[in-house]
Amino acid sequence: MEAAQQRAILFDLTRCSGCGKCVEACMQKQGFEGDPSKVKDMSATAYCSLNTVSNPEDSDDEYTYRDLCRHCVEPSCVSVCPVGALDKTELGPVVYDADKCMGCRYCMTACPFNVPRYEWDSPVPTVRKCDMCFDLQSKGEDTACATACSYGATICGTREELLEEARSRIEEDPDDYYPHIYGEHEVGGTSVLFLSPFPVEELGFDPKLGTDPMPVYTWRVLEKIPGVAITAGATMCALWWLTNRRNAVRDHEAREKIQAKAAKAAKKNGSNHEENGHG
Amino acid sequence: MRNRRVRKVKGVLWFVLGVTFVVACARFFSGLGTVTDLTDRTPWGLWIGFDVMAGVALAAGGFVLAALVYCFRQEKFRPLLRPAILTAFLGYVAVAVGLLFDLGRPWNIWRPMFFWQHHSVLFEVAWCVMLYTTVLALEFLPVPLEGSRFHGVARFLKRFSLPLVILGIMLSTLHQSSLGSLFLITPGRVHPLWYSPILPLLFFVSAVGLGLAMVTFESRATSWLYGKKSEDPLLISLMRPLAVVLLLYAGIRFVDLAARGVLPLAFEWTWESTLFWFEMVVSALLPAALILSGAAKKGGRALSWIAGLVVVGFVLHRIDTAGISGITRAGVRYFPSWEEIVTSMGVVSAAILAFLFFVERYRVYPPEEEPAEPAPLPPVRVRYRQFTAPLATARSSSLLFVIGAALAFALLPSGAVFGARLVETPVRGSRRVLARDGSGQELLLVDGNRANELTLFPHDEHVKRLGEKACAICHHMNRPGDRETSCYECHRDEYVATDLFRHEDHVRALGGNAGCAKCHADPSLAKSRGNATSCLECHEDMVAGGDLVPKPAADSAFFAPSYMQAMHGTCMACHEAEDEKNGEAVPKLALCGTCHPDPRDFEPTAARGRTQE
Repeated sequence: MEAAQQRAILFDLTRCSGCGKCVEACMQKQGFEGDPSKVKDMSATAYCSLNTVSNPEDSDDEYTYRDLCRHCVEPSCVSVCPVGALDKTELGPVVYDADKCMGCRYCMTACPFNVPRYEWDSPVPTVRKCDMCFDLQSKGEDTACATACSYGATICGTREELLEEARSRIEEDPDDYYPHIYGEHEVGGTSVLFLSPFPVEELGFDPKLGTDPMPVYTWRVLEKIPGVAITAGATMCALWWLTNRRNAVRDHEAREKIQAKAAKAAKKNGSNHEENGHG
Repeated sequence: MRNRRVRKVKGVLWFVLGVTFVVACARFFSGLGTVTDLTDRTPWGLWIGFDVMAGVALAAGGFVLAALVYCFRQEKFRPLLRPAILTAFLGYVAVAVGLLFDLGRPWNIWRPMFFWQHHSVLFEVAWCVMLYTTVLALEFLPVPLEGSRFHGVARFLKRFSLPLVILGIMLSTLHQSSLGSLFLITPGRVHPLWYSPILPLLFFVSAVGLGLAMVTFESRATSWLYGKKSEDPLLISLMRPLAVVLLLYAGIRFVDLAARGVLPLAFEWTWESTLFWFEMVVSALLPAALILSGAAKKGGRALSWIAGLVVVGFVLHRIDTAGISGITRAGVRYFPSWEEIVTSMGVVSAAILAFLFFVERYRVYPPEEEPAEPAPLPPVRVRYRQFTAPLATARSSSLLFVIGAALAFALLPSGAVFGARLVETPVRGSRRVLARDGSGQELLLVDGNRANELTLFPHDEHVKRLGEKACAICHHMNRPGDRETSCYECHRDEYVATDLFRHEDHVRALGGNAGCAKCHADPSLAKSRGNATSCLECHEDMVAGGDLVPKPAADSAFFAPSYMQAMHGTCMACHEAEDEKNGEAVPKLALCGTCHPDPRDFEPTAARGRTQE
């Protein structure tokens, strides 16, 4: 499925009241215990959190925003996983299969948004992160968080629809929005899009991340591997052959010198000794 | 004398192994979090940085020496080849063992073999390491087999040494560099002084340097340990190529920094730049300078120093790249726990013990006073006798192992030994007091909510009110880790967040101390909220009547409902019930937005309060 047709989430900072219904709904849906109002950061038992961010020009002007898995169009976590435990589904959500996981935690290191969390205290640990309610979405329903939000701060739809919606929101109230859809192009595009009244880096969309999908950085090197392997092998074979040949030539020349000397000596001593020089 | 030195070193190694053994048990039974200081922000720590990254690099001597001997035909180095191959083999096995510790689900380690993910660097590294370890095993196998009844196998394997060596070089080139490629995808984590698109090249070149240094170092170390003739003349001739590699590495590194325009960062004297210079000086600049100045020409200790510097420097480079350089960026400070450090040491100790085992029993080093090319049949038996550990050694080693294990048991936090336990929070301060009102009633002074506030708790009253069977309500409704139910489990209304009562304001309004009796009417009781006059006595008009918010009973309520609670109580309860009756999946009328269409109605400060408290 094209990225445009994949399911996505749009989060609008200007519409969020910080009521926390999304976090509550998420924890309820996942069956996590705990007080949703106390969630300060994503954890192994909270797939999304409400954080605050203030207007860089006016620190009293505060907004709440949600932190959750961005379900990148080309996810780093999926690309680095050596066993295919993480998967970017056709539908859009990035999902995790604990049975395949070997626990290397490369996904956690590689995620540009620091999303995956780990069950550090379990002898059988798993990686925990938002699955964009894959089960609900595959039945055609909205995510738990989008359903719980009554302000349209979190809405759910195809990536194309949401980008359209985001653009029209910016167009309708140009004063309320910073004219940028966070996640449209960052790291090759994410499936969780953000609208904000001011430019933000706190949401994890560091401008240094650029618009190349992260896996490209790796692929630039990985694609050279067959070449490097063959070159290394061939060079070593060539070296071996060259040094061997050089040694052989050297030996041969040395032998010829000895032969020549012997021959000279033989000539002096007379022709009947000639055969001995060829030994 | 010689034996005593060996015995001492082995004793220390066995001791470390003993500690590691117990830590390992704790790690596998109770999870990574109990023995490591890893966090969600710093998911890779010392075990990846040292055991895996540095471990693989330290084992580079195998392929470097093999290339020197087989491809460059530098036959004079052949005596160093076997120990180098053995170190490499044991090094890779150690990496695999170290990885088992670090992997969260190590029983799935076989998966990359059957489930191919060609886009993952780690997948490629896994394959290369697996194949190369096999290659190294095949390269080394002839050593223990020669002279045994499997001598034929050894001879058969030796015939394939050249193709094996070339395959080994190919695999090494790939994964030594790929360990650098692992970090290409994490530009945000690695400091720009370390992060570079040519990380793989830097890792490869430094691995070659480190390989040469390791060969030197371990040759010097075994000579010292067993008091055998040193191989200094050979090692001295390794120094020149080492200097070339080190200068090449330093050159590439600086040109790369300059090309990326981050060279100025190295002169900003942050702690990262200090670390960078320290690492560069120790790993490449100082050793190269020492070699070029001719310090190594005489051999001896200078060789050990040069090799040691290179080893320390490049190990530091791996750890820096894998984590340290990114510490400030992760926002969380990570320092390996002692358990992590001991485990890393334990893995190395095991590798060294295995190395010594092979050195003592097989002809790893060519026998002294013999030509470098080993004759096919052994003085193996002789060496076996010569170096066999006497029983005493074995016994003292075992003792040290046990002592180490016991020490680890003593030092490990109980959570790591017995599994993560819930912290018990029993109700404290339970003390019997007689009620002052002369009724003879016995009260309990308890810190019922574990809030460091003692309350007079009428135990008998509770028994009377709840009935005999109700004991369980307080004493067996306990949450895990609690011994008794907290007061607020039943008296939730007493602990709502919107307490409007301000004691100071009342003191002021009622005329200081003179006003106490206005609320604390009964002088025979401890002055507490529980026995104070109810708010309603004075503020009767403040609570609306006749709606869904129950008017607090005159004798029990000390909290006025807040406006929000009142409204939510009035509207939402009904709406939720109605929606449910109508079969709505989501109680839409009960959602915030139904009444508050504009989220800007909410004070941002209110939102902040909610998320930060």
